[in-house]
Amino acid sequence: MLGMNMNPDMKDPFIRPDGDAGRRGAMLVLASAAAAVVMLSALLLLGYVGRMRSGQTARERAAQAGLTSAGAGEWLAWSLSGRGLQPRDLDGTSFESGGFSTRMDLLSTAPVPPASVTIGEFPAGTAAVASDGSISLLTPSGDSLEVKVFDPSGRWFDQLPSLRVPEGSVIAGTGSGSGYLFAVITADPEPSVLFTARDGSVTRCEAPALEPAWTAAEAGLLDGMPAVVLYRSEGPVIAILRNGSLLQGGSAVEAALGLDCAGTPVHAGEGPASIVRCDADMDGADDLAAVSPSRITCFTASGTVFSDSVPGASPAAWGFSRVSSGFVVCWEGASGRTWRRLGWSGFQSIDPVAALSGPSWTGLLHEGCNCVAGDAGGLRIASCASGESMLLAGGRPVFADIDGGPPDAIIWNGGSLSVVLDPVEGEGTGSLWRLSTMEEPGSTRIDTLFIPVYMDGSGALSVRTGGA
Amino acid sequence: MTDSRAGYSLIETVLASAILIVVTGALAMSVKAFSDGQESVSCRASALVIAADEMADAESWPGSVAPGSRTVEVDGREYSIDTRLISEDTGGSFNDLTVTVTVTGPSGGPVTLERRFVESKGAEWR
Repeated sequence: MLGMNMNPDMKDPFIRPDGDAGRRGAMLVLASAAAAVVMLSALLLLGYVGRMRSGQTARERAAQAGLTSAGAGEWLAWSLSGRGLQPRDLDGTSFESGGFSTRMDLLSTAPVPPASVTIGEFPAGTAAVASDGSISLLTPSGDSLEVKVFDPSGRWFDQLPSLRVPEGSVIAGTGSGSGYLFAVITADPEPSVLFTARDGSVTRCEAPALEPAWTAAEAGLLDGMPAVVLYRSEGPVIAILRNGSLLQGGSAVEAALGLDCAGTPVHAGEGPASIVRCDADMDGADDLAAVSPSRITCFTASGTVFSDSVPGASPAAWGFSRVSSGFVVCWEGASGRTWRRLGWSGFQSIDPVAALSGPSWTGLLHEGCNCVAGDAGGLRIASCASGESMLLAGGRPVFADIDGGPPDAIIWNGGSLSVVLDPVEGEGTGSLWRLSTMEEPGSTRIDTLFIPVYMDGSGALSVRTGGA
Repeated sequence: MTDSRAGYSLIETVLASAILIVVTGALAMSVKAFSDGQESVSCRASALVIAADEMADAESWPGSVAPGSRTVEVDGREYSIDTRLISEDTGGSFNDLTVTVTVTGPSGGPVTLERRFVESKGAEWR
């Protein structure tokens, strides 16, 4: 049917100037070529569709593999903390979810320092006070204070309306659970206390003349009401409640002992002072100790007042020490350092444990389940067992309970502010893991995960992450 | 030129027409497959984003994702979201919670994502 009229004179079969059959053949060749091109285009289209589908399938598999890997990481962290398993117990185990399997391989384990959170750089003059589970950052701006509140757990800032605060005012933060951020104690233009709530609202309380001069202040709750207690060297002298009530003398002492959710004391006026809340006499109730440059006065919940001084010496470091069985004070004078402890009959000299005598502690000490934390050339912890110490951060630490539980340390280092969480819990154990999830044959998703686990005073384990 | 060479024979015409019809049909089918495939992949891509968002919500705000079905409209298309929660007691104070989110669009079939969480007993997730 496709026969051509062969011309015996023609040598070249492709040159048929006078042959219709040749023209038809050429046309059919062209038609076939065109059909082939069109078919090729169709095949390319179908191939493109196939690639789109397989690409989408790959994305879906990758998403599921990511979720499986994330679930494996969470399960791993829970197994190390909530179930109390050791890293080696979990090495090589698998986690199944969504049709994928993640294999968990332990790469290494190492001790890790307490978790820290870098808050950022702030201008000179900025004050950082712990307030109700967060940190209030107060930056002077003219006759006002710019107020930012930093939440260490969520790592976010909240900007509050600026406060008009006269120069020379003192700001006392409140402890966790108070519902209030801080109290501003001011004497200008007239003595008053401004209680700042979480929503930024301010309640002003008129206060009588704030005499005699006070040197330290605490803010907290008294029977659920915001209150401020002012101290002199010898102890509490005035308690001011948000409703304007004023308590003095013995009532001020009772108010100080009953102050809940108290924040870190702040200091004003001349001379160092410190207020310590602890079970100084180990009778199960919190007591109060006022530290002045030459004397320690301890107000117990039972009503007994103990006082101590060492001629020619001043308190250099102090705090409650369980391993020393009570409230201890390090007196420093020309003859060196002497440690004394509050016992049933008052203060007595003691031979301190290595964790106390090792570093040159300054100021308030905190003791956890296995170490002592304090200021010794920066934030330092010392092992209760061995006495070995480790510097965690430079700068001067101020202890405050920010996240609930043991005290945390707020540290200024130059203009940089950071928080070390629960330093008294000491070092934790960090484990580095490789999580392998097969997405496709020949394609494996690899994630690495570092899990720091810390033990608190009760022996409970928790995972705590730091970072910026 | 003779009459027999004036045009194409019937059989040639039929053959050429058949080729053209087959090719045109194949082209049309491939264009349709391309169009359907594109629509299907587009729907599945949106369904994947919706499912991933649901999972992200579940991770960010534990307890915010409730079991059941609902629909959402994205880019003029309606998608059905089916969420299932299966909690298994692992002993101690935690449960092993499996969240499965299945999103079905107008074409392309459902997309399913699954995530296992560690859930505190007595609390809404973890």
